[in-house]
Amino acid sequence: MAEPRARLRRRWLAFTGALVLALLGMAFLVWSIAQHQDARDDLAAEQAHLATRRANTSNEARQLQRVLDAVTSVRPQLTALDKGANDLADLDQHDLDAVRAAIQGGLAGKLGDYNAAVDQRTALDPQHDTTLELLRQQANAVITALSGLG
Amino acid sequence: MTTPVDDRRARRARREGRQGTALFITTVILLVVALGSAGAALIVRRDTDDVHAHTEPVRREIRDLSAAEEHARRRLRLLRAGSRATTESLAALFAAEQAQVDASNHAVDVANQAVDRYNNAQTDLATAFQGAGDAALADLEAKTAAVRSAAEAARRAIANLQGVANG
Repeated sequence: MAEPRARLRRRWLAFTGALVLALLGMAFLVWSIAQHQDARDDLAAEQAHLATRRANTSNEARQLQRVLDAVTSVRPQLTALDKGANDLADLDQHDLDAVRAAIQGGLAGKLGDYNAAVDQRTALDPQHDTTLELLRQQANAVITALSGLG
Repeated sequence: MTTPVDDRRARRARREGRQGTALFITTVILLVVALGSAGAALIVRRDTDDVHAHTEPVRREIRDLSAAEEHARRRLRLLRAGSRATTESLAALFAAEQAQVDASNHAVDVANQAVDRYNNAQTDLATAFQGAGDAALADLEAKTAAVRSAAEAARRAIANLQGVANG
């Protein structure tokens, strides 16, 4: 009689151990499924993020290209303006020198010097006007191209 | 002939035997469930690793795109600022030039008036010019210097814009 009872007790113990193992196994499975779901959600979120990023990047790239195209389209004018601005300042300096010479000639009572300085200034006018007009055209082209770029 | 006690013992033994069998079968089922669950969990975890492996390249691409986007945004910002600075500096140059032309014409007008007084024999040339051109000349000098400054500012703005455009 003692042998079957001991066997029954062992079976209860084995049953308890198997129950614990089964519960642990199921918990492990549930935990793994939860992690898997998290990973899938994460992947879906990252893919959505990537799609948004691609759209934004494409938009930024388009805007950048538009601005670059605008700047490139007026590159010759920009190069000309770089030199033209300096030329204009030089011509204005010559104009100042001529006016100063005229006034100094007058103050010195030398009509010849005054007239020579006035003639010199007058001679500068066509070059000054041409330079200024050219510069204005180039600047207008640049301003038109660059305006509205944000 | 069995006694009632023997009969009860026999029934109990049979009941315990059935209980033991049921426990054994349930234990086996639970072990199968435990092993099955563990196996399924391992398969799920391997699949999870695959999902993680797919996620990482997506994250890397997002990082690369973010860096490219930031670079593009920064360059765009610089280009727009450069464009604005260029436009404003050119406008300032022409405003300074207009002021210089006006100041020059005014100085010449002042000189012409002095010569007119001399021509009308109201005074000699030097006296006619006394105090006539100082203020106008000082103004012209200032305006000419302003044109030079504006031209330098425009050149700097243009160089900066071209530098940013060239990358």
